[in-house]
Amino acid sequence: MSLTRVPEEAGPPEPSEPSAASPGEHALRLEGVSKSFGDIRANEDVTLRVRRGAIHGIVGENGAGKTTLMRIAYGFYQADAGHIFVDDGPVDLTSPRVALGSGIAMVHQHSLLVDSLTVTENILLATDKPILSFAPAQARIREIGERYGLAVDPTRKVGQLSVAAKQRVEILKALYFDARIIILDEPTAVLTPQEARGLFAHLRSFAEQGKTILIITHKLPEVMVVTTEVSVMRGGRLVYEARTAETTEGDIARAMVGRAVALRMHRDRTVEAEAADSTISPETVLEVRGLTVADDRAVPRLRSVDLDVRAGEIVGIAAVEGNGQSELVEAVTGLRRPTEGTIRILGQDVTGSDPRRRRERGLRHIPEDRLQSGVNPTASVRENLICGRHYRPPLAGRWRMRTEQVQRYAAGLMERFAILAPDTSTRVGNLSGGNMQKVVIARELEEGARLIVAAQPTQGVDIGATESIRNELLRMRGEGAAILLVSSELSEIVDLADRVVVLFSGSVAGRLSGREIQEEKLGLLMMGGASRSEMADA
Amino acid sequence: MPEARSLPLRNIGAAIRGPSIAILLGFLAAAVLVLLIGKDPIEAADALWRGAFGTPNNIAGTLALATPLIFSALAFAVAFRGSMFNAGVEGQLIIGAFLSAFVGFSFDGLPALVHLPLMLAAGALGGALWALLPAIWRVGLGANEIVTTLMMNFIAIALTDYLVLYPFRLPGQSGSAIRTESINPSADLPSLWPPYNVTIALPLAILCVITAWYVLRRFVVGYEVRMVGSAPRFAKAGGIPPGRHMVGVMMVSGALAGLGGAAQVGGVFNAFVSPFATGLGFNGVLVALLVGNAPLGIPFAAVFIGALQSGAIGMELTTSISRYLVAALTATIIIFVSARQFGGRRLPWSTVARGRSPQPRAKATDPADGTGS
Repeated sequence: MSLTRVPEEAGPPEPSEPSAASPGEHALRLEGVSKSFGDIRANEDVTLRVRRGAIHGIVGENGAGKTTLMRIAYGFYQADAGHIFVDDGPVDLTSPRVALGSGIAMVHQHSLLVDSLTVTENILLATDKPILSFAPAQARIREIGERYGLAVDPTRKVGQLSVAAKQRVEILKALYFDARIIILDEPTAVLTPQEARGLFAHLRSFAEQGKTILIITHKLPEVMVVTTEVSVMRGGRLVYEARTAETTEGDIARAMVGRAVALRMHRDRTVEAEAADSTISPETVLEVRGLTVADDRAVPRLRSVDLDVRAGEIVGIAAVEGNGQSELVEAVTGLRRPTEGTIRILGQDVTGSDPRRRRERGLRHIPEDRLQSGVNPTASVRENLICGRHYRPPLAGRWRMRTEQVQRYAAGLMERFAILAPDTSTRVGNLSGGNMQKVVIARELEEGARLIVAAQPTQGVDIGATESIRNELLRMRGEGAAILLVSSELSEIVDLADRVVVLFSGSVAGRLSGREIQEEKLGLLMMGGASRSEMADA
Repeated sequence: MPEARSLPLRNIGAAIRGPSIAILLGFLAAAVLVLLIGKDPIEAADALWRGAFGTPNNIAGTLALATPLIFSALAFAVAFRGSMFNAGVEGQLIIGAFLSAFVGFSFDGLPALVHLPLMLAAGALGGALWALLPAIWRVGLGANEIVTTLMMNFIAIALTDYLVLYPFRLPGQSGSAIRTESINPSADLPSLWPPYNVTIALPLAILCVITAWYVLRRFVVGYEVRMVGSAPRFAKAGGIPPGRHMVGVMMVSGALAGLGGAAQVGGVFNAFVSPFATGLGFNGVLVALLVGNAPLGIPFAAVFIGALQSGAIGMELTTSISRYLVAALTATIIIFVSARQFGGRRLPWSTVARGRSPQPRAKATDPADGTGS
């Protein structure tokens, strides 16, 4: 099976040569699948063959069509053209339930489980058979859990489970319905490295037992570690296929982007650490003392945290989702009032100030939830770019907006930050994820930024845009901005941060700087130290 | 979408297409109804048209019915653009009407140039204050404004009923329609077209429409209101205080509703009568929905609904088809306008722009890798 293909060619991929394939070797085949949404061709004549027992990676940038392809494969969308075969038998996947009947299950990136129901109830939601008693189902869930080492108490409410445990429930659900083909959409986005390794071990054991795994991911190191085959999508087509053992990260990245990219930022930590020690410590821009923040239900999520960010440094916040980092960001940016503690920006106490006052002191915020807080998808690029400075000269007079200046300002930013849109009146909701984030970056990093709170700045953004966003942050750091970087992407923190503060269940679990910043150390601290085993939270 | 609406001509066509197709379908459905009861739909339509526009008297009637609808529709639309669902336009209109009537009959000997604005201002103030309470409850306590504004309607009706029946009762009145004493002639809204009830309230309403449109489009506060209305968390993160704007749009909304009430008092009844509004507020909501809360569309939609209502009376007189057919017609149109999707398919007249993701649900479940295509 020689599968390597030149990434540069744009024509439709000929079906890969199944020469060595004995009949029935493929668990899942998509033949010539096309799917359009209006004028946009999400998938064009895609032929994907997945070997039984494979862990097959589907990689590609945002908008490459991988999610659409997988949605076709589990029956959420129906293809406009093409055929699907399961175990070489043609199937017509009209809905996810039909697909499940054919043995195909999807594990979503963001858990679609109902928090107020138990594990068993959630799993049985997918069936239309009448339920007389939960006991047999519970026993079966326990049995499957033990057989595959996916320990979850079937009587627990899903809302009480950790993110990793929720994911295990989704996988259990697939196994409960005897799925032979399991599709996972960016499964490690919400996991620590240790949790991710646990997941990979499970996936390998599933594959050994004859199940077939499809895994959508952005992360190339994961592809190399866990997959046996990899397919790359770009612009709705399949442009590259290979056995993982026979390819390299560089080849895959080139196929994804269509050009060579720098995969890591190279930095000399030794030199920088020495430089940082020798110089007089620069101005403290953000000073957080004893900060305690509660969530909407008055449950404390952050407990007396102290934190400093100085001019010209990037301080990373490493934490597993839900360990207080969101509340920290909200408190610092003025979106949530802390219950205790003080926040100072450039020496001034802003604990009680609203976001506008803080912005006027140089605060900039790249929010985590891009579609809700980062952009207004229904508004134009222009209206998105001016928010936050729309009320001041030169963009506005005392009452009225200055239309021409607004237009000129927005057009300038579009060009400088290479935002791909027809013009400044394009609806932001029509842009790709990467371009949306560029709108946010352009708005927040243009002029006057002293303190930048960047929450998950590259989440869900393709490699090309990730590169430019990281460069932009480094440039701002070079210009003396203080940057608080919250990221669940550990490699991002390792690459960019000068110092790292690890949060675990709302408290500081560790502080690292310089050469101490390593993924392994961070991962361990994020899990609450060495005392907790990987699966302890089940 | 706010921006799309403010774009030049090419979008006007799209903005008109939606309501037009819905209206056409509504008329077709009404025609079927008429056929089912064994009447001639062509004859009914003719009678409806003549009832609305057949004589100068009928035209004036249509315009007089449209005028308060412009105020109440604009009131709803302004609140809606600022993320508030003001279901209490009716109550705000009633309170505004009563307060303006009070100013109208209480002050004697003022020149019209003073008395008139004073009366209108009293109406606006009454409406604004009546809208202020639900706005504060929403922002301060998180109480759903749809519920509270709706409840405030009943309080407004009961309160003004009491005021008319007891403290301000005119001696010697009985029956179902009770009124206060008449307002002084100096508070009478001058007619533009004597002897009909088409008063200066109509140009005033249109002036309000244009002002609202311009402020929303060009003013800093208009930009902020639109951002709060379409993406509250985005607005907050950008330093725009949502709470302040929510209270602000509700007060403006209430003031517009109150102006509508004052216009009815000064132009039609010359007193506060009870029961007063009989659905002016709710019909205003229909008008606003018909044009997707775009201010500039409101006068046209208001005249349309006004024509249907005044035409219905004529139709009932000449063809013996019940005027409630028009209620069914209006309801059908509103259903067609509101329906954005049908059987999972986007309707051809939907005003929602076609984005990259045709399935909003798919987008919502997939915030990080939100393109999906």
